[in-house]
Amino acid sequence: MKETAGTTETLERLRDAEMTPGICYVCPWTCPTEVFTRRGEVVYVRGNTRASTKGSRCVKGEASHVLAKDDNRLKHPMRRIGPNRFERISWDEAFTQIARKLTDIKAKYGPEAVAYLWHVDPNSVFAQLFLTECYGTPNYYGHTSACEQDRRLAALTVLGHVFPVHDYENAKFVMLLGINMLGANQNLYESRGLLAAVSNGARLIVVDPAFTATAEKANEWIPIAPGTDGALLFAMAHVIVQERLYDEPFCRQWTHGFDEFCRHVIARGYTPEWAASITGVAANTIRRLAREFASARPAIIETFKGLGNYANGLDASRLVYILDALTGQIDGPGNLILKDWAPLQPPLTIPDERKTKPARPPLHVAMGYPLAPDLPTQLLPKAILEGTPYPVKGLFFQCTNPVMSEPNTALYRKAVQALELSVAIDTYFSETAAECEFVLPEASFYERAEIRQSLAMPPEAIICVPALPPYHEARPVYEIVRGLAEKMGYGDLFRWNSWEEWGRRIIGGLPTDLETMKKTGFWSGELKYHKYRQSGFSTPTGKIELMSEAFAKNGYNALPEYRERSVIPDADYPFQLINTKFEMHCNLTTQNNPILMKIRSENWAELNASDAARLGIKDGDRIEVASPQAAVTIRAKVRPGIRPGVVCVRHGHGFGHWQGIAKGRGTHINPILGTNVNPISGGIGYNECKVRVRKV
Amino acid sequence: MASRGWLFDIGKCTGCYACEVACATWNATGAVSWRQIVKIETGVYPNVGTRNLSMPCLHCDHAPCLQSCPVGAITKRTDGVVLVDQATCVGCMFCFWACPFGVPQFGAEGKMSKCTFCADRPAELPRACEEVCPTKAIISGEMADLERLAAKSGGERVGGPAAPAMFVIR
Repeated sequence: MKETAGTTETLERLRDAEMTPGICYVCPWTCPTEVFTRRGEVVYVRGNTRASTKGSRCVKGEASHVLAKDDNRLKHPMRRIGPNRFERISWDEAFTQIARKLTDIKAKYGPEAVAYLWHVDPNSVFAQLFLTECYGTPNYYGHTSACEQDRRLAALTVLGHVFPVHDYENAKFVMLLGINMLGANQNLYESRGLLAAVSNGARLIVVDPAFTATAEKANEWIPIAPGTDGALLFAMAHVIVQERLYDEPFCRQWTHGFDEFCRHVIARGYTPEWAASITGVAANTIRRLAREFASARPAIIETFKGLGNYANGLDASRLVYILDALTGQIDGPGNLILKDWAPLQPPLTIPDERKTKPARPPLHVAMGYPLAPDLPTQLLPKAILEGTPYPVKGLFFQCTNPVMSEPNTALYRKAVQALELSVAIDTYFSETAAECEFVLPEASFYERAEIRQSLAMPPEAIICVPALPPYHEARPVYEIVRGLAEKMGYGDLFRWNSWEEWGRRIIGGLPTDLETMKKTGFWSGELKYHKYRQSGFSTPTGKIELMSEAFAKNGYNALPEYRERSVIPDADYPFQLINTKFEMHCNLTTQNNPILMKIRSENWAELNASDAARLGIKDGDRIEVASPQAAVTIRAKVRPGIRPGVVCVRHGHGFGHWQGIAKGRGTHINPILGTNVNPISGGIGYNECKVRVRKV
Repeated sequence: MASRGWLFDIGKCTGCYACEVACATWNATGAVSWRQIVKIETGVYPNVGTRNLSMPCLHCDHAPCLQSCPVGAITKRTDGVVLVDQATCVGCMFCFWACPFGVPQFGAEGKMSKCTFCADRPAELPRACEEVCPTKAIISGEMADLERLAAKSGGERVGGPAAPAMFVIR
């Protein structure tokens, strides 16, 4: 492989351009990038060649430079004056009116009635500081309940770490369940390493009802029955316990609840034979996989969102990390890595005497989800419309579009319309923005500065330097928050002459300086393995919790159990719905990009070839997919690579409000999804859906 | 000067399109694509397989496009790179019919354009497609080096009378 580092100067010369390091925000992996501009135009982009992604970039990031000039981007602050009617206002007017509403809401209902939601979170730390410390609401949340809520809580509970990363390159055995890191969930920090391992003879097992891009590269594809992965994992644990394949010294020293867990899986009879009838995976395959995993060193078992798409996903996700722990495959070469974070500091501090303490607990706690790692967003409409657990009257939506992305679309739209204050901060006029009172144009990642953690294995900080001048009146979040703070008496705390001032504060604890980072794009520390030998695990017991003390304390089952998923297909609705994304589209942000829409303009529903033949459906036909909730019409994709009895919809299309090429393309499938919330994690069960299919 | 070409690892390609778009951006190709991405899913459930292919110009030893061009618009450099001079090109499309791989592209102006092997980049730099590939499925280099690298993984040179400058690992 060619050495890519040090080639920047040559490329700059060849294109008479200047390189500024950036961070890509098309998807939440936030890969570090190199942006080449010439006289205000982006002429080339690639991954940062010296940082961990080694120049890699996905198609979405490569195509993203059209954002910089997209005429359909939000240009000016706007205020809603009627359905689908907005007037342009000045920033000063926007800040004044929003500040007034914030003050009114605080006086009438308390500051806790305001919440801030982000999907991707550039610079939202400024909003967090202002809203949670100055204004006094505890309700600063992200999008995780629509993403990997179960996995996140499982990793926190079992391993005490919110976001394990992976040393795939050195692994000899990798088993992935409900995660498609070479496809829909492209992780450029890890894709090269995974395939290098496979080239070097590592075994890759992919467990998924659909033959995903990751399954394509696997030695074995296990087309498991949807929502039954927990049974497979419990049965693997049963084999490992019964045949004593665990790493006993590691378990005795570093796990809590080892004996209880071992007794539990045996007592419950979670045998391979039991699992076979549930999963459709042969008992001797399960046995073989368990033995292979337990004897391969190093090994990784991992999941992301797939398991959490079902009501039973939390305990299934716990099993993933428990299995890694049983064989001692934690934080070593070729294992999942409990990464250290770069020692970054906040951009500014609020003095104690200027802080406002919230009087109410955060929403997720008040809703009865004390362990939820992020807001159970499906329960937000109840807070808005019924005041349960307490009234929510104001919402900020930063680059998040729940009117499109949540199930129960009609309810969500109604809830946003009922707010006394609704503010969308975004680069595009989303479905949610269309229901908001204020729509504020956010600067894209080509026009703003940021410093944040990267998701590489070692501690690593990455920087985004503005590559282009501001786009019309769009502003970065730090400028938007500053404007609000100034109207509400906190302007003196949100003061800087240039972003470099707070940039220097953020990296104050790093052994580098801002000028260096502005050239290289990152700072990287040392990758250390087996850190737990010095510092233990960040759990209540300081050990890996096979039995969770936090769960017990909150009245939940301390030991994980297998439960069936909630929604089971029947005679009227014989198909199980599962969902995923396209590799070249992300969530709801890429569908106005002509490059990406040329590659893939429309979404579809995938059907097994024999199911399709039986229903008289051919590839490309329009079909109706109907759940007990609603029906949608969508294009069919007939393929052999999906389990019979399963329909896989690719989500992310179907826009009504957008101008340009996104309008009317594809099908928005969320109306067919009902509300299904995991009772402990608050995660959304997107796949708890049974459907019937017919040609139209 | 040593002849250069491609090593493509089908096993690593995920058909993600990053290479096509990186090429289009670096080379400002406009509406045409100089890399063609093909994804083929084969088999019957559950014995399913996929082949992903990302096809650039293969800069053949005996380039049929060059041989077929009636106006001499296509030339081959000493390092093997096959280039078209758009000023000379008359848009007759003979090269398109001659190429076994469908490489020549024709944009709005009717002139042929195609992968130039990032001809303006020095040899020691990666090509635009190569440097962004998330799985490093694309490698460019000197043919002798690529042959050695391919052999390590059981790869071989693409066959045919045109003698494409490309090795493939399956």
